[in-house]
Amino acid sequence: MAADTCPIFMRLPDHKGLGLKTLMAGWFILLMGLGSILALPGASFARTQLATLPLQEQVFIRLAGRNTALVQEKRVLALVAGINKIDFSWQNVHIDPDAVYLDTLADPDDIALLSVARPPDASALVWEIYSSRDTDQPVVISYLLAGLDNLVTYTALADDQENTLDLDARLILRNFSGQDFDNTLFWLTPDTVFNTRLQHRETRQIQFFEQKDLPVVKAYDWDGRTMPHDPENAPHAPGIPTGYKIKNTSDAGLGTCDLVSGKTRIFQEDGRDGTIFSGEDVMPFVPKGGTAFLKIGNSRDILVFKRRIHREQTRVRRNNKGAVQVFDEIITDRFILENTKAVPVILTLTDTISGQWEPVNMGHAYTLTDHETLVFDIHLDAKEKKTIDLTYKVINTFTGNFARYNKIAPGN
Amino acid sequence: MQHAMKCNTYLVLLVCILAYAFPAWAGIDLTAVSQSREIQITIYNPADLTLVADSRILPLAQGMNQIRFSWAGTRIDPTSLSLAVTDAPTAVTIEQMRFPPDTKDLAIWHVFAEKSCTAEINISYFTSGIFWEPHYMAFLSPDRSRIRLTGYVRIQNRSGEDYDNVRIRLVVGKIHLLDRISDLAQRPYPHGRPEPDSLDNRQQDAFARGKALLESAPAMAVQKSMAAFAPKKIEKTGVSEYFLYTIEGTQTIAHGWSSQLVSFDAPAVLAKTIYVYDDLQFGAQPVQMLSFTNDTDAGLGKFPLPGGGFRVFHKIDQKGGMIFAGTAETDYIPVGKKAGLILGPDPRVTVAPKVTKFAKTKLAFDDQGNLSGFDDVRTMALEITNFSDMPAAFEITRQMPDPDFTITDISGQDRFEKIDQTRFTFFVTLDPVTKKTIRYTITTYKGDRKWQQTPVPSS
Repeated sequence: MAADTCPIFMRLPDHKGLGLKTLMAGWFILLMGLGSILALPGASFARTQLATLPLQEQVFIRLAGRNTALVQEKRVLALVAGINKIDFSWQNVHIDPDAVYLDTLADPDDIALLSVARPPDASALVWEIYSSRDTDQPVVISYLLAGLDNLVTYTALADDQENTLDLDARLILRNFSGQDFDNTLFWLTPDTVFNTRLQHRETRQIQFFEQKDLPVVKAYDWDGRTMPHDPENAPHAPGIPTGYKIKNTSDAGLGTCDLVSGKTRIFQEDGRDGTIFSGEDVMPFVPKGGTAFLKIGNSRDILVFKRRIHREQTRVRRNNKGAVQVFDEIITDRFILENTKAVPVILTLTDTISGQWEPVNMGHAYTLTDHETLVFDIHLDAKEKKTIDLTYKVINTFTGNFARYNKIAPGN
Repeated sequence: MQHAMKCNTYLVLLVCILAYAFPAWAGIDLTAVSQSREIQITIYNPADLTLVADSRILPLAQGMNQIRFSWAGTRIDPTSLSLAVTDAPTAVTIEQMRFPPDTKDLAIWHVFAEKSCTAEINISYFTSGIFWEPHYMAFLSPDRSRIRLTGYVRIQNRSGEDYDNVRIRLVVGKIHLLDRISDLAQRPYPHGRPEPDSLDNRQQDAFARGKALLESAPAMAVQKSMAAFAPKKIEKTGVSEYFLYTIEGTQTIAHGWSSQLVSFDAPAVLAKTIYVYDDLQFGAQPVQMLSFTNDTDAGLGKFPLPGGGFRVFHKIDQKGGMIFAGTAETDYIPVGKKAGLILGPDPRVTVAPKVTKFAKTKLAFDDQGNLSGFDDVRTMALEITNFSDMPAAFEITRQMPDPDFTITDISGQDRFEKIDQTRFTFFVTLDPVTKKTIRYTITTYKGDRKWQQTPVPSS
């Protein structure tokens, strides 16, 4: 750890009659020129050494993925019998002074933290520690340090058939805390602990996870809420989002830990001993057992058209003046699906039917994710064109003031 | 006891044999600096107010005595200055107190003694610039069933005065004040003047005081009796609407320093970690809430806990290893009451409410055949996942936009509770890495249907 970037420990001289300003002056001198003062043997500070800079035995950094890291330092304090003043100060780093914790790891009858004081206009704490005897006492000092965090990035390589992925996860450590760390244990999860060095302003990338041949499903996701219903006549038809569905489960080769959110760059073997870059997406947080969809781009080779081909009002109820109050509707929507690729695909088609409705004749199996959202998983052979008609009845459609109740408002 | 050298208040005894004893002021002037016998400071929170009680021994001459008290460079409210004779062997009368016209930050008491004597007096005043605030550290056990809760009080001295070896009391409670003590301390005249000050004068005066304060900032003063080998205890007692923390022994707080003391240390407070879902209050993700009750069963309950910031850590092993769980603020926690520390969302747990079925039933029409009302019937599903490696208890609160509804066909919950006419809560616990769905049906009465039956909320 660099001496000018702290935290810095020192024992304040416990010397009766030493004036306060003298102490402060000494503090700065010690800070600036510790070596020269230590070179003065037999200085007049009696049984306490003039200054001790307790060595770090071990440093743990527990990363939370946010701008603040929990640093835990194990040090050995050379305590003398009686009261010891230990100065914990920092410069050019941001430490939450209310979250600095000294654990003496000792019987409180032997060693006790008596008080903590904070000097004026200084980033420091002064611990007053009572020791029943002269001892070298291991302690753990924990504090929250800003400017040190971590990112996770992934690289995925799909085989040329797009059936499997090799997933490589890298941890990016970014240290802009103002503090250097040597030989430090970084703790990401209980299963992910590694030892490295990290200097101030240094960014370090570490591989912490690699898994080969993960089974994946290439998926095409058409969503009627966002996609054009007539792509050939839409001015800027974007194509159907496509990518890989991945499961964080043991049977899918994962499932040992949560997948942290991070940028994922996806490549594919080109079948000629080379690779191409397919696209990139953000891997969402995927807990153990969860699934994720990694989008690589949009496909223009799968076409989906939606057309309303029939609409009929039934059970119309009018008031005494003949104005319509309530009616039902029989509706038929037609989906025309076309796979222009030379390989079969699985198309996931999502569409909504708002309001109160019931199926009449649905041309394909579906699942309801809520009362209005239908999801169809449709197999399309190579070069296949398929038509699916959905006939359903919308019930109790209101007119006038009550028309606002025909659908459930978003968020309601 | 000695005042620190940097002390900015001075008490000077000027014994004057006044005109009725001798024909002229010229006679004998006896001046002596009196030393404090004991100082007690009572610091309020959240008001910027500290009551200082300064007990001293004064020798008094027969006749009229002048006691001069000056406070340059401090934040003392001169209108609060008070002198009381607490013990004297003869009659001692405080005739008057004056603030001389040409000397700032000076008060003079005229004290008449029937005979020469030594009297014990008490000078009290308010000062601003001394603050205390509580804060807490909570260490959650690995199984999250208990917390080691340590409360701290931090005392900060920006008053311009060093307080050396003083007795300290801390007051918890809201006090009613008409004026801010810091404003009273900065007025150019102790009780103001008939016409208002000009802004320029006040600014100049404030600037001068600030400069004086900076120049007078003393060096650090942390000294301690070698005899005291244990952390100071803080005694807690209730007084009227306030709670008083009295710090054991004496303490030194130099200007500019702050001191932190352990208020209490409860090693094993019963705690519960629950996930609270309330989209109107916390958004679409459940938030982790660490709750404990301030009662004796839980390991607390002897005194109220003043509001303050919490830093929460989760211990993960017996070697001191821990992870930072989050920060939270709490308000005042009376004895017997529950506190909840909101630690933020955990991506491993989710709650997703869905409408799985929607119907409009029981349509009502008026005598003109117009639609006049209906029942909005929704079948709801609360899909809950716990991907964490520990059991997770959930409290899921839902709010309806209007009170005309009934809730029926509830399943999947451990407990259901209606909070008020529009809010209700489900309680459920999930094992690690499991999913669960709570289902219920909400029927809301629209239009005339509101008047066609009396909704009876189920429970």
